Amino acid sequence: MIGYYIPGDSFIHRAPAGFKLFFLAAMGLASFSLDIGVYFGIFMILAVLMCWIVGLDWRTLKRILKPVALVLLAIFLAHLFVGDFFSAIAAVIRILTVILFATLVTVSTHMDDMIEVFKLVARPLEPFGVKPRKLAFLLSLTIRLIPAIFEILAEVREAQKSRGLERSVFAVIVPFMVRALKKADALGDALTSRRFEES
Amino acid sequence: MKVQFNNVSLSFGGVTALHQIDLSLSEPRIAVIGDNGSGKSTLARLVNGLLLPDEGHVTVDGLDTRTEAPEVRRRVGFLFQNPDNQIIMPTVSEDVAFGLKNKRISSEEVADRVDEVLKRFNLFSLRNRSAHLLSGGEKQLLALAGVMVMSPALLVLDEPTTLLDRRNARIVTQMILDLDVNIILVTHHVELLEEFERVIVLEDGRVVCDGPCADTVAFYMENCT
Amino acid sequence: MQSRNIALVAVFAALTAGLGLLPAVPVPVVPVPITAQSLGVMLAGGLLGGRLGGLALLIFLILVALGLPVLAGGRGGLGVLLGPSGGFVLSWPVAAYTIGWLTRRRNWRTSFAKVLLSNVTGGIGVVYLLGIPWISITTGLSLTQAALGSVVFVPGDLTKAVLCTFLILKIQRAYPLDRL
Repeated sequence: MIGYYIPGDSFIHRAPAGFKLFFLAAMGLASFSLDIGVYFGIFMILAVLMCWIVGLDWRTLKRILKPVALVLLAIFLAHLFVGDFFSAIAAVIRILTVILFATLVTVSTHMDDMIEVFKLVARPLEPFGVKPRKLAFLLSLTIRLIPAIFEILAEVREAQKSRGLERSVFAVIVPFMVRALKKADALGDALTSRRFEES
Repeated sequence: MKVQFNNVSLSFGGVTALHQIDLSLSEPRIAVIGDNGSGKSTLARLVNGLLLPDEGHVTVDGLDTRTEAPEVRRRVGFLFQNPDNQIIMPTVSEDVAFGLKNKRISSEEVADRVDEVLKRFNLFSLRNRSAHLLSGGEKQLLALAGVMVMSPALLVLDEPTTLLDRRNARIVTQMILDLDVNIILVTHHVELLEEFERVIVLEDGRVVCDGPCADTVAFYMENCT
Repeated sequence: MQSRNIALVAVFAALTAGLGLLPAVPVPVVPVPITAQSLGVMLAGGLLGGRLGGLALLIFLILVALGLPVLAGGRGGLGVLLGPSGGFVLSWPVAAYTIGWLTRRRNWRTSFAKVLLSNVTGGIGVVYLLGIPWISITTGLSLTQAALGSVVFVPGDLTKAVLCTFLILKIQRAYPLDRL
């Protein structure tokens, strides 16, 4: 399953995942508490610089930001409608910068490292019955299942296509769900047989 | 390695799957054959405690599946019919390593054992491949590798080659026959059974024939098909 | 049985990703085409119950955060979650939990009206309750403005809730899950 990871060896790539996520949280908070002029000056430049360091080229950036563009436009117009040009620009900059930093973290961090961070974050929840290792396994199992589930969906749609029903929600989703549930049962048996419950 | 069925009965939703089965299984190679609905898959799942009998009990080396299923599963490995539903990790080597990760073994030893098993099943070159991209036969071999890496004393297989094409079915069957472990094989491919000491025929939840391969298969072909 | 629960959670998380692949369906009268992915929230809650359904959507959410393009339209990553529409996705685990909790109360599961009510409360109520303030926080628009902007999606979501009620009942008849 391909994520958005961009291979590289910059200092950002090598920074620990936890540190990057903490940095991101700090940025998010800063974006709402600092004076917008100062903020724009410092952080926008910082974000652009980091994009260059990480190896995020304009084309990839465009691809990632494209879905957000329409939303940003809508927000800009909304602000313009109820307020002034300045607040409209400020809003767009805030969102854009946070999204840029968040994207930077996503493209420069291995999935395994992120999972490790989640395990760490889950540790304080252990007394409440959360087991970090089981959580990590659940993530891996889901990742492993995604292509298989997509395949089931494709098969069901293909089968319904021959009856002209591939666009009917019921004709596709009900058989799809039944097959998915059967798969879950079979997997449960396999996990039990492979002694999952003793870990 | 002895598996004992004592007066075992089991029903699903009012339908009797197995009726008062008494069996003592200790031969190195045992096959269980029968048509769909004969109860052979149910029988297989009773051996490793995946299913529990409504009446009677099943013991593996004296361990009752009702009370000591985890201990039983240490000795009994299980291979299912559908290769895809047994693979639980994204890559080949991760999947084989899964069972070992829970033991107190160093990661170097885990890696060694995984490599050894991968080579044994001709999967070493595929070790970093996404498990999803394997062929049906390769997936079944991967599932087999994941079970064998845990060194079970008995391997129960529920129609392991039914969903494979002929070429892959032959490859997987040969791998299974070359294993140095006790086998209980559930199948309806009677051509595979030449090397089996004992063949049991099930029909409608009862044992209708039980003995050396040649006789039993002849009986099956005459009476059940 | 623990293994089965783990398998169910993983399958439902994966199928929420799968539902994101289905094309948006234009529906008459409704101004915005409806996407199938949020059906995953209601299906998980309705079929698995609160605890497992919520966990399934939490896993899905973590996968989005990890950068996998599993959100409808091939989107993913922290950027989407922290953006204006992120609040809706962030609400999904809570929504699924709510739906599951409501449907499991006494014999709510089998009644059409009650499953529908759970779907609307959880799938729409909770989602908008968390999603709209998030818009406000990230964009600086007031709550009222954010709410007005989101109102156009409500008819589509109501249609989905009704659809999903039928789906849940149909699926439970086709493949009943024992009490979890």
